[in-house]
Amino acid sequence: MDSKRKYWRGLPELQNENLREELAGKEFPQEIPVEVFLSNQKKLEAEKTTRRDFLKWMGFGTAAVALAACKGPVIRSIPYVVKPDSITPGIPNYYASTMFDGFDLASVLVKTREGRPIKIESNTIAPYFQSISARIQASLLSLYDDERLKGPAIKGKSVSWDTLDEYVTERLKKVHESGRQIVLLCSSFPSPSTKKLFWNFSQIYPTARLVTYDAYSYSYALEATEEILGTRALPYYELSKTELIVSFDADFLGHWSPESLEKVYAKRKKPASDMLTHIQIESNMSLTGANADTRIPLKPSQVRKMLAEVYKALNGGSTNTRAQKIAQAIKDKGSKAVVFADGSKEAYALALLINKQIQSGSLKKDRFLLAKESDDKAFERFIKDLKEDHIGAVLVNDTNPLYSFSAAEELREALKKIKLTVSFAIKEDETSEVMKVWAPKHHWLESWGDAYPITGMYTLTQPVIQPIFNTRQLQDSLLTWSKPGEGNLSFDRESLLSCYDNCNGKIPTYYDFLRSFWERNILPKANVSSFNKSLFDGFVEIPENPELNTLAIDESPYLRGLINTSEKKDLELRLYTKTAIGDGVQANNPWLQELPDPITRTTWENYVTLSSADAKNLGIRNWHIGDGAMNGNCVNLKMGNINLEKIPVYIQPGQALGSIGLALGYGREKGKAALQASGVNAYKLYKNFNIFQEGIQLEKSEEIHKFSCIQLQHTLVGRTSIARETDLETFLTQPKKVWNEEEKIGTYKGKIPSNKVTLWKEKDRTQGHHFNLSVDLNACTGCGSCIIACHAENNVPVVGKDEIRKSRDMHWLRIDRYYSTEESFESLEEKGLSQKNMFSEPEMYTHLLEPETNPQVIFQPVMCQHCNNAPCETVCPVAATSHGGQGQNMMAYNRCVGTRYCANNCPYKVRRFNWFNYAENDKFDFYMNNDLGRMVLNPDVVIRSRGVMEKCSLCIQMTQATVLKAKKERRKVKDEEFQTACTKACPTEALSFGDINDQESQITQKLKEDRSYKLLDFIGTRPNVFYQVKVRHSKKI
Amino acid sequence: MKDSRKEIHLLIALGVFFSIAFQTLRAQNKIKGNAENGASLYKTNCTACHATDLTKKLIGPALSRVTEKRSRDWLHKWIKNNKALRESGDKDALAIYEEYGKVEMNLFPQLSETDIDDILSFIKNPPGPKEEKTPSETNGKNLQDPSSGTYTKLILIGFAVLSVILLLILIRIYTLIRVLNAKTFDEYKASKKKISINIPEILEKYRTLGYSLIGALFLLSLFGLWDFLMNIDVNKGYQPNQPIYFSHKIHAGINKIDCQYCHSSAKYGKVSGIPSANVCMNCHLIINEYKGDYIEEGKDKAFYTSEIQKIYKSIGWDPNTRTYSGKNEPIRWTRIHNMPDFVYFNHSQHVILGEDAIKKSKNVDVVCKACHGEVQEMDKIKIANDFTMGWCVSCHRTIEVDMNNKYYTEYFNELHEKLKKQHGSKANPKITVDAVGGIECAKCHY
Repeated sequence: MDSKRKYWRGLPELQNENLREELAGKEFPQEIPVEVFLSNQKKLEAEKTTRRDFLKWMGFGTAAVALAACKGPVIRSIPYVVKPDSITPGIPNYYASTMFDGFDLASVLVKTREGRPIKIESNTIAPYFQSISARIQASLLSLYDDERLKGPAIKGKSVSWDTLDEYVTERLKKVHESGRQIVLLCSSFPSPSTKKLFWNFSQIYPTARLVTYDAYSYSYALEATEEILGTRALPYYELSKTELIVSFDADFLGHWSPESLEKVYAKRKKPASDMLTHIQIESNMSLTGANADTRIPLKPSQVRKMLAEVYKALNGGSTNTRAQKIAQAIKDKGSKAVVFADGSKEAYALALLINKQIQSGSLKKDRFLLAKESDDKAFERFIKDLKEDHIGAVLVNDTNPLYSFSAAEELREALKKIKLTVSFAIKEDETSEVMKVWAPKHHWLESWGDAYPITGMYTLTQPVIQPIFNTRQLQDSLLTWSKPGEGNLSFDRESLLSCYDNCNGKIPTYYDFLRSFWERNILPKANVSSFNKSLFDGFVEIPENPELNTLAIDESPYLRGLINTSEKKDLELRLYTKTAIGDGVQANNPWLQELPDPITRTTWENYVTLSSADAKNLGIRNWHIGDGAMNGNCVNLKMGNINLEKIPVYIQPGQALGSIGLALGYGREKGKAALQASGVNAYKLYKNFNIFQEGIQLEKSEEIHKFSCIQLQHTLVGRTSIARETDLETFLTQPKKVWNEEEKIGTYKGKIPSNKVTLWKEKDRTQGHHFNLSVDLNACTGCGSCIIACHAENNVPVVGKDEIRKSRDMHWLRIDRYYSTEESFESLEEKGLSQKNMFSEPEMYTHLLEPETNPQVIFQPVMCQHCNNAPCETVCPVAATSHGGQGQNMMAYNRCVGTRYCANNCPYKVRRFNWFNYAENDKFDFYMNNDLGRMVLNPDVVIRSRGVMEKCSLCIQMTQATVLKAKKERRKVKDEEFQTACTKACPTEALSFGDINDQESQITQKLKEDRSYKLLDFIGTRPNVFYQVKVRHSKKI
Repeated sequence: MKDSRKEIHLLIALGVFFSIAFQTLRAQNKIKGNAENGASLYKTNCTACHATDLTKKLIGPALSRVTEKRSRDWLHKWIKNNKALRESGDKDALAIYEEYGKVEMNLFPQLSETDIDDILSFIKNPPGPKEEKTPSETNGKNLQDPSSGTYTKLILIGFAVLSVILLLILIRIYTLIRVLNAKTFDEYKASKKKISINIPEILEKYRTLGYSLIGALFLLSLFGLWDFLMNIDVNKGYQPNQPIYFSHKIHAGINKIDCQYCHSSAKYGKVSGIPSANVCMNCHLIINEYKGDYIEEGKDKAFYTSEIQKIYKSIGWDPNTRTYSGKNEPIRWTRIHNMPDFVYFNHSQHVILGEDAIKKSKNVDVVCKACHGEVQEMDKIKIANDFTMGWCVSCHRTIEVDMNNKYYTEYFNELHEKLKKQHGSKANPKITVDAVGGIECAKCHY
């Protein structure tokens, strides 16, 4: 060390020469008042806590805590004070009801435990509307949304209902006196009793008007049907004898028809010589298109043209060869064919005309779907009236125009000027923000109600839980505000009250009203003994024969409408609704946000879908980063004067050239789950309620989007035996080994069947039950209903966007989606690429990884395969996972120490590791972190804790309950009694479950079928889940 | 209390006196019957609405002086068919009907004339003195009990003190003898030295023994630690205080109320259920004070009665006006048996399905006792067993399955043969719960 050099500890020392010396003299830079203590004897003695005392207390404290930790905490048990008769703790109750949230409608059974609904199941005895989609099941979770409005409020200040009623009636009277309109803006609301009730309301306030506004409009379809069939309703299609469906961009397995057609569709897909052929002509890759036998990707304008050409070809006037082929196929099938179309009134009408022309047996003329009542014209008139100051009060129910209307800004300004604005929304949304009065209504699970969704069937909604918050039914609010006998309003009291029985001249509650309405108007027509009986069933059937006007129709305006679309260079947009989010009503539902899109397999986001060719032109890529997550470029979208920026692009195989797709329902401004999702509000582009938009310009932006996509591989990379598929001709004519070859294990002796060689000792499973699960790939449409059912039944946690991106999704059941490639190992070998040395020729794999531009799609639900020779069991160091006599691979969570060897050794990748405590953890702010949200949990299934592996249990809690019931009743179990959550929810019966030791059971028959095979059979795991080969009509057109 | 009782007795005495005095006058009203039979008839037919001690108003009026108030004929008519009597326009009958809130009394056409006479004679001459006796007897016992306890303690302490004194004296005597035996003081000193202990020497001498002792001690402490750790959260004997001093001994033991009367969901579902307060009210609507013979040490009747009042407070019942206020306040019981969340246990499976097998194997008369112990002896309920997994499994390995159940014959018909093969032909293996999969992990953990 150079002694001349100066070393310093900090700038202050350098600047102040004396400081160093000062510091050197002191050990502590700051004075410690030791001397004050020591110098003053009295002070020292006054100090009561000595160092020894301190140590004593410390020691005692530590010991006390340690000792206390060995004792369990004191837990309180609080029984009912007066137990309701119908509740037995531990036993579920089921109630029939009708789910309706403004978008979806279904006849359901609600499972309740100790008075709280925990699952929504299908009301299987209902003749219509019994399919339950993922959205319908997940609507349960929004009941327990802690962001729901807790009570009535005026201008953001909470008030009592009385104050609110006073405020509203006073202003309603004033509006009435001023002669301005009172508008109830409502989504489609097919409730006959509410309509009657609103009629009563309009007797007191004659300027009251009901305006139906649906975020996703069915108005054009209703108009087309009115013009062709004479009824403003949606046509009802019955597919049980249909052999050909030609669909022009109609997503009929999605929301196209308010009643899902999946069930019959899947039935008609049963491999036989008369199996349904499905041709889909569309621009986006929709769920329906993914299930089609033949899919023709065309951009929206060309789809419409193709429809016109097909119509012409049917009448012998088209030159388009493809159209001629399609027309020929339709002609061949005659009345067994049906044509669907979507997108505009013209398309819809022309499809109906074709069906009329071919006398399609699928189109039922005595039955209509009445669930949708969208009326765009009325809404436009409402906007006009609003601007011209004809409206004095706006009441908004079940709809959110400030989010979903394309010209929302205009509307916002107009609404702000209205004196009385009332929102009935159950939670804050974009519209309620500008509303002065919040009169939150019940969730549908807390409400009474009825619906008339289809000709011949009325359904009832009944509350299955006490209102959780201080909310009030919409109808009760209307009844209170239209109380006769107050003010100087002119009304005929008698005529008003005559519609209520037994209410002694008082305005009844909505329940009384509903009951008397049904007893007067509906029950006498139905073959039902009492209101309670119909409530028990959830529906009544009424024989009805609607009068049909056979209108003479001139097709030329429709044809002109379809063909008069000018060819532009710009991209065309097809707006669509996702399977999970729908029109966005349930955007705040974490279950739905995390439900992977069946096609793109992404969660928590929307994006522009683009064909690979168009993407190349724009220089847009999707790529995977080191940890396997997917990234993608973003674009700025320009349409007219609308700019949407930084929209991620997902390159979608099968997307029509020159078209893009964008999902509605994202880009919300309210709701914590909706805000955790990323996305843009596509309703801004939903001009004139048209899902087809033209003149779109895309421009690559600098932004890079991080997708939360749970599937990396798009194709099977040559391993075609995983999701097996064959065409109908081969299936019908060739022996099993051609199209469903048994996989063998390669040994030094050559290939031998997998059951001949095994490491494990075979267990005898002939006694007791032996459960198997069958997955019919032909019937699975990929709708995701099973995933939500599994979530609800098994308390599967929601992990959020970031965790999904890290591949830490917790779905016990996933639906893999594979695109087909033309190439196979053989075809590539012919081209001179060898598969033997994969490291020197990786390009061969890139060939296999790339799907075709218009690929076929196959869905494959994969859950724990419950292998009889389970690889996971052999590697568990603590025997936390073991095999049961009934065939289930059992996971004892409390025994698991989290080595994750099992997940590594699982060939099916179905095990899920709990990286965190998802319950009671505010980092996962979805529903398990608050008391209200936890009410949805199934008390029969444990919440898994951090560091534990979990997976599908084949719903052992359900099978055990079934077995116990049979044991107690001393009898055999009936075949249909064995169910799992997924098989119960599956609308197409693609999943089925049962006992293969029962020779008569359905599952045994299925196992014996030629189509059945086991996943990765050659590795000898001998799973208890088996699949059935998908059979498709070969591509011909 | 005592005063009122005296009054009642006086009244009864007067009543008896008058009834005897006017016996000749009211020959047609003479009630002659077997009071003992009447008492049992009264108990079975009337106590649902009338107080057992005849002096309190319940749903129906207090009956103590009814035989003086009304004629025998009227009473017969009323008891047999009060409705007919009311319909005949009898003013008294209508007045009673009005007074008691138009609650109709049951009709008793099944009672014969003599039956009614028996009941009336019981009402007339209730076995008063007998009632007096019992409490005094029990009180006497109760007085003796605690004192006898302290006596034994005193005696024991006395013995202990005596034995210590004896020991001291013995030592003293021993030294004295030694001093006497020693010829000189030095010799005595030497003899004392001999006894003195040289520790290192001893250690050297008993080296192996020492080490093995230390080893044993080490092993013992290891075992102790192991035992301690294994007993963490084993709460056998846990006996917390409850918000209401509910004595199972009084209810299930003395009054022999069936377990599943209160824990009614045990036969349907997985939880046995803590009864809701309205179930308590099935009995406590009438039983509003404790009158039993049994009194736990340190408690008295008033204490039990005050505990009954807590139910009323919870459910909002006013015993004076006999109305519900509608204000409820749930009872916060302290949970005793608390299965961890990852264990699924179904009461009905054991109580209904396994009832006979468990009773047989555990040699108990009530199935519940197999796990919950002698509940009928517990004043304060406590955990009677380990409730650990090993404890569960030990039963599942030994208890036989009821092979007469059609479910088992359907699904496990060949199991017996298979087990025979497994164990060799000579053995006659039992079909125990584990043989049908009763110890598989996921049968209880999901």
